[in-house]
Amino acid sequence: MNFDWTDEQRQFRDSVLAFARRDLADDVVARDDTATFLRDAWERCAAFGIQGLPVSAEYGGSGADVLTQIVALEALGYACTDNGLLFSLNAHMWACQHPIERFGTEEQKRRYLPGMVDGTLIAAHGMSEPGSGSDAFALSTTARAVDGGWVLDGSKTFVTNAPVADVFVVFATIDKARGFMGLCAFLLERDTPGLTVGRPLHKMGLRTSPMAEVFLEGCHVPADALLGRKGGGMAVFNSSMERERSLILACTVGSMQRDLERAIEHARMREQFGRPIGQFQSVANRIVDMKLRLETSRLLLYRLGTLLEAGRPAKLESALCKLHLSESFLASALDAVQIHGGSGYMTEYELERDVRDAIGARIYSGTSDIQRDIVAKELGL
Amino acid sequence: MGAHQVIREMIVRDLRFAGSPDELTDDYCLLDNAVIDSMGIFRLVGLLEERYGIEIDEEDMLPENFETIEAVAALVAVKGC
Repeated sequence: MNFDWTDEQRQFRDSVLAFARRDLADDVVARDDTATFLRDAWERCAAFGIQGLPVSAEYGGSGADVLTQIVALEALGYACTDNGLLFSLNAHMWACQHPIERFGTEEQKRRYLPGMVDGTLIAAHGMSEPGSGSDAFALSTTARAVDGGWVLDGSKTFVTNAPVADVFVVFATIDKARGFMGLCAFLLERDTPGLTVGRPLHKMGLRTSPMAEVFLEGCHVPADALLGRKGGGMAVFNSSMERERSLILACTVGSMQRDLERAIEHARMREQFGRPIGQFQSVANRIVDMKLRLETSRLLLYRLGTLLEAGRPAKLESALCKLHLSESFLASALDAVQIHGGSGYMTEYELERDVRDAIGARIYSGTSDIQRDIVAKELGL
Repeated sequence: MGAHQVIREMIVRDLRFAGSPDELTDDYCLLDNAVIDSMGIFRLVGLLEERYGIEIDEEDMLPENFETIEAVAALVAVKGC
């Protein structure tokens, strides 16, 4: 079993690191404070090829294999401290680009994917509602068939990228009594009459990733706005979520590496009671635990990557990965703050932001509780 | 054992069908009676793929393919060709 990257992947990783250090080094502390999304950074990522990584060349992407995608995401997480930007990118790629390429008609793919890849279009995914979060399929937004299309009514909440999105993947039910089998997915453009984006939602973390509610009132969409088959919304959603929960936390492996290195450096340099604090077991043990979480996260992620690349079922593995990486990121971010003491609590040290951002990881793309539920079901419980 | 009976046993054993197996006729409404839920469908698909060496794509996860045991058996037959 060879866990080494190829020379090509190593070179690509180095290029991503250089790109992030050079072009994604804006003042994140200030923008986190004001919850400012940087459109320039988004466009720089597109120009470098980040958004295009998983998309086929015929639609403007590079069609990179899954492990190479992971290499890039991990490098971004290491060298770019703007977790909000990375979160927005991931939501765009896995919850929007992926289902369009997987389930879209040729016309839909050609209409949206090139712009989503080159940075001119930002996409948002609307599933959660005030009354349906973890119980996603209990949604209430309706789609009523009319001559030439559909009329959508309802609202979505916690829609990442909504304030800046050009295209929305929205889920609605055509028959609420059918539960998950009554769902349809639709592609809506921002200027569709009847679609309104609410005020930005202010969050605990991931503040540079914009988020808002989306309201649909008598929103008429043409028949070709349907993404996938009628009644096939569940498959579109599950495919998106399986890809998203598999890869959205790849960046956190890089972030955990960065936090670990900072903790080690601090523990070596900072002296208290006449010696480096790293010589105290309380501090050293925390760092060991950070290392353990990092390496186990890597192993889970890379193994999952090989399964996805081989087209093999990975429902269990993606849930384990999402669960472990999110919990590990939070635990290690807390340890990094603790090791730095009072300094770690200060925003300028950019450690406390990882804690606030990491808490979201236990919630989005299916909460840790839901991931445990998925694993339990896969184990036949 | 025919596909209908295999599927019936999968539903009883692995999807924990709460009723009597005798109720599960070939035309019993699996979706309307919430026999298959959003997680159970993936479990059933996984079991069918393993049992019959077939591949059931996400595009096949449509209501008409999982309405009844008859519908599921028809899907298995199509995929097995």
